[in-house]
Amino acid sequence: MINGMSELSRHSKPARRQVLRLCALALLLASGAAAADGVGGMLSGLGQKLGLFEKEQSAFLMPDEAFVFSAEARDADTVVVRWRIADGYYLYRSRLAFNLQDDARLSLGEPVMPAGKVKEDEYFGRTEVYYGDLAVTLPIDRSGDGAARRVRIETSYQGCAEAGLCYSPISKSVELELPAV
Amino acid sequence: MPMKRIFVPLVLVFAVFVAAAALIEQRRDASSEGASPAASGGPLGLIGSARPDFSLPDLAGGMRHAQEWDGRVLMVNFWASWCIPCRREIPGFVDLQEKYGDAGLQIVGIALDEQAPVERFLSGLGIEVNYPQLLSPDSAGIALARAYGDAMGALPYTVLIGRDGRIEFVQFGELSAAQAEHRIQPLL
Repeated sequence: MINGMSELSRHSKPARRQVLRLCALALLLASGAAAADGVGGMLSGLGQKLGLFEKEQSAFLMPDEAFVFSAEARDADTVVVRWRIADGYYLYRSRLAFNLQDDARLSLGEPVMPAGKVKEDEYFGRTEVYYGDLAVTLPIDRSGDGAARRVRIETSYQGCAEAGLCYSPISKSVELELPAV
Repeated sequence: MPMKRIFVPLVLVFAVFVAAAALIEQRRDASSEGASPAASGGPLGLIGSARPDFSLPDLAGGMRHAQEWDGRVLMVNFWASWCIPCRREIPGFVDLQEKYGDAGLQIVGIALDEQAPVERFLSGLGIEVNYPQLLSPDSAGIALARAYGDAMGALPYTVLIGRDGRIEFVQFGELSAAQAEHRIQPLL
């Protein structure tokens, strides 16, 4: 222990110099970045005054960021499809669609969708939409085949940003392992 | 002491690099015009380039070609009947066509949609749309919107083209008549 301490003190002078150098480097980098920020800010401010880089509105998310999609097999005869909908975005209830692909022995029951929020639009009237987290339960009729198997579920959905942008309908196809009944 | 001699220039070079990177980032952000960073590579690269061609049917079934509006200031508005913000834009565009048509403005709507919902939608507006509405349903319409820089296939999407056929401005999402007018006037 003492040995260790002395080792440290023997090298304390160069070590301190090393620390000082690192501090100087950090300071220089930080001031460089701050200066760049200042100049950049001035430039974009000037640009905005001249109408060069005028921001017409805020940035929009890519569709898969606005509506984060996932699906899981909850049990032998239930699949749950989920969306995490970003703040300021919504999905239309009437445009959710589900399909069980290429499977003659299984069939999809009626999807269980929660009640949405009624959105009043001066032109489109009343539409039901979802905000935040959404989970839809898909019952699967296993009477034709109860063995463990893979299924492919196709889901389509469509949504918009409150700020004035609608995404084209999106389709997702997922393969899930259904356990035996 | 060679370490000391290298140290200062090295730090300076690094600081200049960081400053340049921050500056480029700032300028790119400032000019993104409502596009998400991931999507901005496409449309921003299109500014100044020649507009892609198109030949599409109008609501009466006749084929219309982009070339017929060469020499005019062309504003192409991609929309669909299921798109609420698209609906909000159209009355303002009708006013702009009325106001600046004689001065050389030509607005063209391209609906990524089928004829029946488009006709229902337009008749529900309660006003006469005084500029051509072309139909481009299915994947061909989305491909055309993408060729015009709409990487996300999101609507409405509007592209303003100068008299020389070069793309001047793109807008993701709703474009107000005032914003559009501000962009159109210098091109007329």
